[in-house]
Amino acid sequence: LKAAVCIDGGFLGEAEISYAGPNASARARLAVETITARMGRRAPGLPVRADAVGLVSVLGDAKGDLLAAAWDASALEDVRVRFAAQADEQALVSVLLDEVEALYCAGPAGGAGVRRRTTPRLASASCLVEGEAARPAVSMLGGRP
Amino acid sequence: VSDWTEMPLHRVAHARSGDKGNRLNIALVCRHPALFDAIAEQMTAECVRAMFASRRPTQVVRYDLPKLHAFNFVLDDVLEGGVNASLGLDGHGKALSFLLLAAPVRVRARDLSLLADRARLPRAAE
Repeated sequence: LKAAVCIDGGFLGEAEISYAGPNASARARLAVETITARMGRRAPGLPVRADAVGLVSVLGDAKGDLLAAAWDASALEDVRVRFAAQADEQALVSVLLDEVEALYCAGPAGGAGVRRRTTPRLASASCLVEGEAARPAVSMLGGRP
Repeated sequence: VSDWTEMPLHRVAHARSGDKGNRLNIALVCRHPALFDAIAEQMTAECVRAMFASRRPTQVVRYDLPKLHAFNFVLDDVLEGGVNASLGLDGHGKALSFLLLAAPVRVRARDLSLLADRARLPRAAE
């Protein structure tokens, strides 16, 4: 039988902040550089992804090469920067979300509209199991017995 | 040679993409059967690999479906872990079909006129 196995995948943390008006894309870029530097000190080794909605947020790569190359040519006046990280411990993910929120007071001028969200994740893989090992059964989560 | 015109792929074909783990499938369908050969010649697996270079594909294979005047491109390891692991917004790769549709292609004028004829066909009764 083909089986799908799901295991605890830790937590996905996402936080966003907006910059608008004159030099918005330059301030958004500075926000990315600031978060990258601060996370490098506070959570070394944790991969942090940055996207700029309206510039590179979908077709980009995890390393950020595409976004880094796109800043120079951009003169956007409305940019929403999105950061994301994943870790087994929720506290580690919260470090990123706290740093993004802290951009309000200690970051480029005019940062606005921070939203933060933490989502538990499942990791999955496919494999084969012996048919005799399977016992058909159903269990309802949250249902009455 | 002057009857060839260059234009973005989306003018002459449509695409839809989706995921299986960390693997991306892109279905590319020509808007007219007559376009199949020209698109097959230009949209090679190597060309698609180059377009997706920033996602570092480990393998790109094109499967041809001439009876459907369509192709299935399979790109391995381009979804940054896929929907369960990607840190990006589009873990499924659903928007990546439009990266493909931005490709420049050369199309014969007579094939373009076939497309125009098709656009003028009356709609089926509803």
